[in-house]
Amino acid sequence: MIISGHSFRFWNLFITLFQLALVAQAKSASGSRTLVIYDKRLTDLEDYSTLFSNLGDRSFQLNYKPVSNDSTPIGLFQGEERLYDNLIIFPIRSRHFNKQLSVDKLLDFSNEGGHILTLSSPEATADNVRLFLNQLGIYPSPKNYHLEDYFQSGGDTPLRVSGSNVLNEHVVPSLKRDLIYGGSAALLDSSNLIVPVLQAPRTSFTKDSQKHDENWTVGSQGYIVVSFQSLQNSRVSWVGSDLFFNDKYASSNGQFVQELMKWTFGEKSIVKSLGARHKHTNGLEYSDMPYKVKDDVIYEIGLTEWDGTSWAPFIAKDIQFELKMIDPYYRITLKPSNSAPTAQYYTTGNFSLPDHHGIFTFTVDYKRSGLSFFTERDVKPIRHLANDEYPRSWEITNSWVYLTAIYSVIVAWALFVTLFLSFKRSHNVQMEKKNN
Amino acid sequence: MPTKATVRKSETLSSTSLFSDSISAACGAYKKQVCDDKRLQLIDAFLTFLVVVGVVQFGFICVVRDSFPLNAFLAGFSACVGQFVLLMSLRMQWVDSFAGIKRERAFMEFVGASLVLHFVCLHFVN
Repeated sequence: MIISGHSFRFWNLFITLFQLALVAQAKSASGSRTLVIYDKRLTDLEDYSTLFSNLGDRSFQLNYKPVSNDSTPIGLFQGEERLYDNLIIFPIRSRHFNKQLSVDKLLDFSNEGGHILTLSSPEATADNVRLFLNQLGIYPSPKNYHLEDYFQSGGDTPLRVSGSNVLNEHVVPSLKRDLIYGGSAALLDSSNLIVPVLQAPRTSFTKDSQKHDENWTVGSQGYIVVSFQSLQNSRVSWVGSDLFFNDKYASSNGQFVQELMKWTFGEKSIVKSLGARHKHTNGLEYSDMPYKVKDDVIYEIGLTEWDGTSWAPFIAKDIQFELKMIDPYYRITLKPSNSAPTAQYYTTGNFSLPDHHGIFTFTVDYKRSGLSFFTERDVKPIRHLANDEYPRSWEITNSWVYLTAIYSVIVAWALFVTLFLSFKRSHNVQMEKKNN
Repeated sequence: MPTKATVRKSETLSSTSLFSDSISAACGAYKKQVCDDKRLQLIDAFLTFLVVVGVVQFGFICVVRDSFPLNAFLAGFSACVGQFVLLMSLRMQWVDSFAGIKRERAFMEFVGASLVLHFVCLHFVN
């Protein structure tokens, strides 16, 4: 969408107001109403006090919903409106949980932009959560499968996983210390929307504690922390261990957990476009002078990133502009131009439109694993030259030869006709005589 | 008895002599046709001029290896070719007029057709 100067300024103002409102209320770019669903028999919320106090510090409104043996549905929507922005699901063993919160509800919640953090443990893996994750391409190990590693002290003691091997820096920056993990592991689909965060150790495997010779994952095939970001930028994270979040291990896991929750609830790695515009190099807009082939134009886009407290300039070197008509005619890596306190502007520099008329799309489609996605699209026609816009023949030096040829033929013809007529009288008689 | 080789040699000799004979006969006939008719000489001079101009244009395209103002080339070249064709038909009618068409009429047709040709070429070159 092209934004004219006036509405561009208005849009900036709107964003500033929006920011102010956000800073006053919460640190998530999307919302702070959070519902915690947990199983009373499995989870003692006292064990997670660090987690919840951290969330409370960051102005999250926490609502708790204990799940027990009654089967009253858990309402996530009122009409078509979401009641919560974020959902934390602890491991749940209740048989009625399936009826209380169906897979469709979870998918709807995610599709409507809600963020979901799910924890599971080998003792309690709720079917609805598992099926929901399967829809996204995450396949957590079933009940009773434990991640084990005989190279570390075996048995029930949790595993140590190196925090420096984090797979996506946008989700969790890599840490120096080891993380404590005990639980299950997941297999992953090859979907591009999945953001793997932490891999199971190479020497580990997931084993069924009841039956022998049954493995779910082997070695680094398994993942223990997996995130997912949909095309609507709603985020889902799965961690196969409730113990990972426990206060007992807060000293080692605390920072990782905090970063993971920040990412999942939209407190960081949120990138947004402030609008893109394109115009002639001489400053005229498309509305003043429609584009024609080979015109010099320039494309600009402003990008901003939510860092948890404010909108800051988004800095990257791999943002590409595309000028497409089915195929890309141009694919230009954008260069930073001027920067504002809240945004960094990028430009293509001058480039000339292709020598091809048609309906073109000016687009920036930025999709990077771990960052929120944005797309700017503007469809504009590029016209061909009008018949009086081509260069005249005498302006092209090559055609001087042909012009000379034509005029010499005409002059020679005129000479020929005059000479021919001047000869006519004297020779006509002779010719007639010959023929007669 | 002459050998096969000598027969072949005499045949080739006779064919070359026949060819040169026919060439010289054609030249003689042409000179005889043209020598005392200045209009035919004029027509032939103009024809030669047109061939030269056409060849020059084509040679130019070959030398610069670029047919860029192609419409200009087509206009210039077809001016030569078209004028050549018109002039040739005038010449044929002037030497031996067609049944029912006088030479004067043929000449006026030539003038009209040439004017149309020049008009078309000048507009095609833009």
